Amino acid sequence: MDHHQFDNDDFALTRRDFLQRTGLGFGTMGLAGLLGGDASAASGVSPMAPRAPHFPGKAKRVIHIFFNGGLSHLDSFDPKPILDKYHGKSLPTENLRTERPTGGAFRSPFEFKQYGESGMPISELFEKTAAHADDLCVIRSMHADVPNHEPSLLLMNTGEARLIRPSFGSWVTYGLGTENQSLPGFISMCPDGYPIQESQNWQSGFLPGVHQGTYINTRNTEVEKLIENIKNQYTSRKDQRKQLDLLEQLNLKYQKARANDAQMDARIHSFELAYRMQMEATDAFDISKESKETRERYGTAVQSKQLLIARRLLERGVRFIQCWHGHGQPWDAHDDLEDNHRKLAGQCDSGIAALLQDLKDRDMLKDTLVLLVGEFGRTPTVELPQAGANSGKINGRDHNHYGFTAVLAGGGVKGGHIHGATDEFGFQAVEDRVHVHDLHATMLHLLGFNHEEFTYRYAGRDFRLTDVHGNVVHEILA
Amino acid sequence: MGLFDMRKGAVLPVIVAAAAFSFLPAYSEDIEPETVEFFETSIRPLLAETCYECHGSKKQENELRLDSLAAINQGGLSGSPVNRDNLAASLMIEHVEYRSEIKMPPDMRLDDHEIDAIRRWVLMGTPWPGEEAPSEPGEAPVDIAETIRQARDTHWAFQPVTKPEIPSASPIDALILEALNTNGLKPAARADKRTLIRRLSYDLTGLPPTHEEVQAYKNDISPDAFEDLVDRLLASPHYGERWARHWLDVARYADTKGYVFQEDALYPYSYTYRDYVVRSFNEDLPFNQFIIEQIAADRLELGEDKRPLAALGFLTLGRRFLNVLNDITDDRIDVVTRGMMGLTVSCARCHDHKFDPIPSADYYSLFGVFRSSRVPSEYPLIEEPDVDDPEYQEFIRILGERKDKLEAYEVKIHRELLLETQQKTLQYFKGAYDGITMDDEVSFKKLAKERELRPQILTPWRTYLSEKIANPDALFTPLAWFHALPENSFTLMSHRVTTRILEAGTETPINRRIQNAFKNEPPASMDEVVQIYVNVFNEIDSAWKAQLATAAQIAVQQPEAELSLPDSLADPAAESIRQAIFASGSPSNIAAGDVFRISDTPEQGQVRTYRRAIARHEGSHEGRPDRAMGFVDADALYEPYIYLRGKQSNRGDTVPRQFLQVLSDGPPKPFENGSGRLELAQAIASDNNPLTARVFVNRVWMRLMGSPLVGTPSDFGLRSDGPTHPELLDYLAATFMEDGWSVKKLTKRILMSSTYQQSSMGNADFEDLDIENKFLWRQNRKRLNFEAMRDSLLFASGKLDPTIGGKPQSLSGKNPTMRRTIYGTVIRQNMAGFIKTFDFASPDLHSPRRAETVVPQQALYLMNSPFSLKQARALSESLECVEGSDTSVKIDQLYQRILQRKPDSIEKQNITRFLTETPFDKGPPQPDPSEWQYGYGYYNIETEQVESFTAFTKYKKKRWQTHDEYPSKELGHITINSSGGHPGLDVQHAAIHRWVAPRDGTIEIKGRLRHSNENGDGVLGYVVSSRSGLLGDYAAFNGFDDTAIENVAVSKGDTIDFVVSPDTNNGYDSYSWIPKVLMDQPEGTEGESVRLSWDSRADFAGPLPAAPDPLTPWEQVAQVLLMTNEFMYVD
Repeated sequence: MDHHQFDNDDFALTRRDFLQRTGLGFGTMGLAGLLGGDASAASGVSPMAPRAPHFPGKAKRVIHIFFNGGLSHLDSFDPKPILDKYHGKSLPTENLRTERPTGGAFRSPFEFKQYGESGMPISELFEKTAAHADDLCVIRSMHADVPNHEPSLLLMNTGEARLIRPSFGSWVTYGLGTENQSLPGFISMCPDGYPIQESQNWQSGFLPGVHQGTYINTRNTEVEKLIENIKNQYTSRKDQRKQLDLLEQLNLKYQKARANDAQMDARIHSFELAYRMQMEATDAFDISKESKETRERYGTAVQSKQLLIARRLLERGVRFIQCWHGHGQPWDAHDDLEDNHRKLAGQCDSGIAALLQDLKDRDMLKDTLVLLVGEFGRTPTVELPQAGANSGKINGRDHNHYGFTAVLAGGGVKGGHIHGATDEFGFQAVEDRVHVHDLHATMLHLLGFNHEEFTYRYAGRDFRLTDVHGNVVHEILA
Repeated sequence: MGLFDMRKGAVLPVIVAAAAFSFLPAYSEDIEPETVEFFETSIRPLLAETCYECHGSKKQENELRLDSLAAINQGGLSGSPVNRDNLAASLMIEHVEYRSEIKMPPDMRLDDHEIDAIRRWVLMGTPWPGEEAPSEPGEAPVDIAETIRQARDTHWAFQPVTKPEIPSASPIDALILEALNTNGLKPAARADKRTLIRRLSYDLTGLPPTHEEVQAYKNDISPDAFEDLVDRLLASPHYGERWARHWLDVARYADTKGYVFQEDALYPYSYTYRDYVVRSFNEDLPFNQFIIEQIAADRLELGEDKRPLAALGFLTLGRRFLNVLNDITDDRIDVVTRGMMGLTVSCARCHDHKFDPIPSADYYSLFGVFRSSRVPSEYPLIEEPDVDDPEYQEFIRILGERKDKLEAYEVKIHRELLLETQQKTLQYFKGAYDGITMDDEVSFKKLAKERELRPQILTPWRTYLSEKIANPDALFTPLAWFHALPENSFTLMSHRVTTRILEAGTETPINRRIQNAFKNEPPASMDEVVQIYVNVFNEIDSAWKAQLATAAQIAVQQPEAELSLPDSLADPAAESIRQAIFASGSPSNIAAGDVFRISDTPEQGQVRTYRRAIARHEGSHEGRPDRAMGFVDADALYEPYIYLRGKQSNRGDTVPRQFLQVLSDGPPKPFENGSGRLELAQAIASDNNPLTARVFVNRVWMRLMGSPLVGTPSDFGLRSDGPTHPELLDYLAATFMEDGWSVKKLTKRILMSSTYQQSSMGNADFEDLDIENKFLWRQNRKRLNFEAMRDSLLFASGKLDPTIGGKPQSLSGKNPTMRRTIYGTVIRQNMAGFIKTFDFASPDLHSPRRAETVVPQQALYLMNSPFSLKQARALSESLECVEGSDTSVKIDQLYQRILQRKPDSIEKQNITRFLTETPFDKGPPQPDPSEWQYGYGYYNIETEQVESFTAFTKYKKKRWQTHDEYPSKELGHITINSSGGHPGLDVQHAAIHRWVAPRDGTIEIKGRLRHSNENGDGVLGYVVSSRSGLLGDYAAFNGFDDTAIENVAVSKGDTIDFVVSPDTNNGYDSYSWIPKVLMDQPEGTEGESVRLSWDSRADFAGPLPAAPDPLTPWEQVAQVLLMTNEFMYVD
C-alpha cells in the first residue's frame, strides 16, 4: 500500500503560489460558513479573517467610550430642571431603592443649553461634544438590573451580570473577524490599570481565546510597552527578515509532503503577519506622528490621548475598541459630584468632539458606531452619609440602574434624535424603555446580525449575547 | 464537524427535541362547530397577527407563549393570562383593554371589535379546537416522566454499554476497517519509526524523545519494540503530567478565585489537587475510584494516607462568583455532570431542560447535595510537616506572630467594648429601644452614628429588647405594656398602665424593684419609661460594684483570709435584674466572639485586614505544609426545593437529594448518607451508568487520535452527534470497565491498534471522499498545545527542570519557571496574554476541548519573547561541538536536538547559505538611556543652582536609596520612588529627580507637590534648570502646591531638577510629586516618531538592564528551527 506516497512534484509549490494561497486574500468568508462549524484553524481560515454578517450592516466597527463608575445622566444629557425646585427637599414620590440611602432632590450644578438644529439639550460638561449634537442619538430610557458596579459592568459588557459569558467585543470579532490582520481585532484601553471586574469586562468566555480583548495600559508613554512581544531586543529587523526567509524555506520544504494542511499553511503565513505587525502596531499607537494641532484638539489628558490612538486604530481597521476612562471607577461620584464630573468631562470632552470630527472628516462616522455609556446612571436625589461608603459630604449621587442615558453616534443611528424618557425627576426610565439587552440587540442589528440567530453552541446550548432577551430599537435606526 | 464545539443554531435539533417532547392532544369533540368557526376566524388569526411575534415559537417575552392552549395554561412570568377561577379577571382581558400598566399589544390598542372578541373568547373559557381543555388549570403541557422514560428507552447514550462480539485479534481495527470499506476508503500504511516514537512521546508525556531514543528505537528490530516503548512511556512519571493537564481542562482548574472584592484571591493549596491528579494517572488509580474521590473523598475510609482528600479540589477550585452560593453550586453541578457524564444538567437551573430529559427537579436534587456540603473552616493537612525544615519553621514563626497580633487586637477591642457598655448602659438601652421601631438598617446605623454608640453593642441590645417586648418576662412586662400604647394617647393611658403594674398579682409577676420604680407619677412618654428602667439598672449596678469593692478591700486588708468574691445580690429582685442586664450572656456583657460580627464597623475592617494577612501567609509561604482544598458535609443538611425560573424567591416543590431520574432504574432512591455526595459519586462511577465510561473513553480517544468518536465530548444528550463508530465506543467502554477502569490499559489498547499507528499523510483521492478524516483513513496530525510547545522549547534548550509536583510558579515575568508548564500558576482573572493567545483552556468554565487557532500573536511570542530567545541562546550554547568545528556537524546537532533527526542536504544548504551569505547586524538599535535620573544633592538658594548631584546607587523595593539598609544610618530616609520620595536630613541632602533633555525644544512642566502629614513642618520644592536656574519654588505642609511651569527652552543635555528639601524640621517629610514634562513637536520632526511627553511615574524604573547581547548567527538558526512547523506539529 503505497498510494499515500506523494509525488513531490505534484505538490510542489512556488513561493508565489504559496503566498497567493495564503496571502491576506483569504476572501471574505460568509458567517454562515463560520457558524456552520468548520471554521478557523481546521480550514486554514484565520479566526480573525474578515467575514460577512447575516445581512449588510451599516456599522463596520465599534468604539465604546466607557464612563466607568457611572456618568450622571442628569448632569449631562437628561436635564431635569424640576430638581431645582425640589433641591434639598424630598421628592413627592418615594425614592427608589438604590445601593445606598438617598435623601432629597439634588439639582444639577451644571448649565444646559440647546445645540444644533435638533436643539438637543446638553450640559456644559460636554459642550464640545455638543457641537455634534445633530449626529448624536441620545437614549434617555436605558435601564439595567441592579445598582451595583460589578454585575452592571458585566451586564453592559457581556449581557450577563454574573456568569461567564463572552464580551460584546469578542462576539463581534467572532462574527466579523477584523479588517487588519496586523493589529488585534478587539482592543481595550484603560490607563493605569483595570476597571473593576478587571479583564472579565473584555473576556472571551467560551469563545476561542483569540477573541479576548487585548488590554493596553495607555499610561505607558513608550509605544513599545503597549503590546506584548511587539519588539525584539536581541535581533535587528534586518536579521529577523533573514530568519523569516530561512524559516519559510524550511517550512515550504516540509510542507511539500503535507499539502492541503490548511492550518500549517496558516501558521506559515502568521509569521509574515507578525513581522508586519511589529511595524504597523507600533505606528498605530504612536500619536507623536499626529500634528500638534491635532493633538491639541484632542487634549492632553490620557483619556483624550487614547481617543486619538483609537481614531488611528479605527482608521486601520480595528473592529472593536473600548476606551475606559481610568482604572477603578472614576465616575463614581458619591461625593463631590460637581468637582468629579467637571474634572473627568474636562479630560474627555475635547477628545470625544475631536474623534467625532475626525471620523466625519474621513467619512468614517457613517460606518463607525460610537457608543458613550457607563454601567448605569446616578440618582436625582442626594446620597446620604454612611460610614465606610462616602465621606458624608452630601453632594453626590448614588448609582441608578432604573434610568440612565446612552449616547450613540454614526454607524446607522439617527442623528439629533432623542429616544425615550425618564420620569419627571429622572429616576426611572418610563417611556420607550431600553434595556441593556435591547441596546445590544440594536447594536448587533447595526452590525448586520440578527441577535437571535447569532449563536454559539456551548455546553449543549446555543448561546447569544442577548441570552433570551433583547429587542431591536427600530426607532433609533436612521 | 469542526474543531470547535459549535454549530449553527440549527433547525434540525429543534425538531428532534420537539419530537421527544411531543404532546399529542386528543381532538376534543366537545367544541361546537360555531365555536370552532369563531375561533378560527376571529381568534386564531388575531392571536397570530398581534401576539406571536413576541409570544410565539420564536420568542417568548416574559416567558409566555400564546400559540397553544397548553402554553396559555402554563403561563409566563406573571402566571397564566387566563384566570380559570374568575375568567373575567383574566390578565389577558385587562391587558388588551389597556386597563393595567401592561398594555398589549404594546404598540397600538386593538380595535374595539377585536377586544370584544378576545374578551368573549376568554369568558368562554378559551376553547381551542384541536386541543383538549386541560383537566387541571396550569398543568404543565409536557409530561416530563414520559419524556424521561422515552429518552431512557431510545437515546443511544442512555442504553446500557454492551460489549460487541468482534471476532478479531484487534477489534478496534476491525471496526474501523469495516467503516472504511463501506465508504470506499482504506487505511494508511504504518507510520515510520521516527514518526511513531515522536507521536507516542508527545501523546503520552507531552515531551519529545531524545535523538538517542529515536535511534535506539529505530535500531530495535524485535517484534515487541513498539509495545516495549508504549510500556516504557506509560511508566514515565511525565505521563501523569501530560494526562493530568487534560483532566485539569475538564476540571476548570486554577490557582485563584477569580474576581474578588476584599479577600485574598489565591487558593492556598490548589496545587495539591493538581498533584493528586498527576499521581492518580501515574499510579493508574482506577478511574471509577478517581471519580468517587473527587466528589466524596471525605466520606471514604481513607486510613493513614490522607492525600486523596486533595481530590475534592475538583469541586472547590471553581470561580467564587463573588461568593454567591447559588452560582458556586451551579458551577459544581456543571463540572460534575458535564465533566464526568457528558450531561448538561445546568441547563435545567431555570426550567426543565429544553432538549434533554433533565427536569428542574433533578437539577435541584443535585443542588441539594452540594448545598448540603461546605468548604471546611480549616483545610485538612495531608502531609506531616517536616519540623526540622527551616522553611517550615519560618512559616510557623511568622504565622504565630500574625495570629498573636490578631488576638491581641481582638482582646483589646473586646475590653474597650465591655468598658463602654458598662459606662453607657443608659444610652445603649435608650438607643436600642429607639432602634426597635426602625424598620431599616440605614436609619438604625445613622442613629448609632449620631449618638456615638457602637453597633457591636447596640445591635445585640436591640435584638435583646425586641425579644423581651415580644415575650415579656417579669422584668420587661411594664415596658411591653407601655410600648403597646399608641403614641397619641400615651399620656391618657399611662395612668391605667401604671395602675395595672402596681396592682399586678401573681398571674403576671412583675419584678418588685421595677414595680416600685413606677410608684411615682405615671410616665409621660416612652423616654421616661426608659429612664425609669435605667435608674433601676444604675442602682443595681452601683450596689453590685459596692459589694465587689468591699470584697476587694477585705481581700487587701486580710491577705491571709480566703478570697471570697460575691456571687449574687442579697435581694432576689435585684439579683434577677443583675443577671438579666449585666451577667454573662446579657447584652451588656458582649461575648468576645461577637465583637466582630457586626458589619461595617472599622474594627471589623481591621480584623479582616489581619485575617487576610494570615490567609495570605498561609496560602503563599513556601514552607507551608500541604493541605487539601477539602469539602465536608454541612452540619445542617439543606432540603432542596425548585427555584422556579431559577429564582430563589420563587419557591417551587421540595425535592429529595437523589440521582438523576433518567439514569435511575425506576424512581430514584433519595440519598440517605449525609449530603448524599458519596451515593452520588457511586452512582456516577457505577458500571451500570451508561455514560461515565463512554464519556471518558471518548476523551481518551480524542487525545490519542486527534478527534473524538462523539463530536461533543461533554454533551451526550439528545442533541449531541451520535458516535461515528457506536460499536467501537461501546467496545472501548466495556473493556475499560472489564479492566477495572484502568486508564493505562485503555490507552495501551488504543495505542496497540494499527489505526493509531497509521501514517498521517494525506491522500488526494480519500480527501475527496472524507476530507475531515471522519473514518480515520489516516492518523490526524496534531499541533503541540501550549504546554507541549513551551515544554519542548525548554527541553530543546536543555533548561527543563523535570521536578514533579509542588507549589505553582510563575510562567511570566522576568524569571519564568523552568519547570513544566503544568506547574505554572493559573491566575483566573489576569492570565498573561500569551497564554490565552495559545488557546489555553479557559479556567472559568469546564472545557471539553481546546480551540486551535493560528494568529500572529503566537508568532510574535516565538519571534520576540525573551523566553523563546533565551531558549534559542541556551540551546546554541550547549551544543557539544568544539569551537570552530565543522558547520555541517553543528547543523546536524541542532537538528538532532530540536527535531530528533539529521538534516538533508537541501536543509543544510539553506542554513549554510544563511550563515555565510550576508553579514549580520549588531542587534537592534538600543533605546536611549532614560531621560530620568535619581539622586540627591544641594540646591543653593543664594545662587539658585543645584550645586551637587549624587546618583543613588541602590534600588530596593521599588525605590532608589543610598545604602542597602533603609533608612540608612548616615543619611536617614532619603529616597525617590515612582510617585515621590523623602528628602534627607538637611538641605545638603535634598532628593533630586532629574530630567535630561534628549533634544532641543520648548517644554512645559506639570505636577503637584503634596505633603500629607500634620506632623513636622512640610517640605520645600524647587524646579531648577541647568541653563537658567530656578524656574519655580514651592512649599507643601499637610497640603499641596501645584508645580506648573510653561515655555522653558532647553537644549539637548540640559537638566531640569525637581528638588525636594526639608524645611527646618526633617521629620515626617514623605512627599508625593509626579512631575511631567511635555515638549512641543521639535522643528523638522513632523511625521517622524519622537517622544513628546515624559511622565515620571510611568517612566519610573530601577537600574536599566544591560542590553542583551544580540543573537549570534547560530543562535538565530536555532531560533528558526524552534519556530518551524516541523517542531510544532506531530505527524
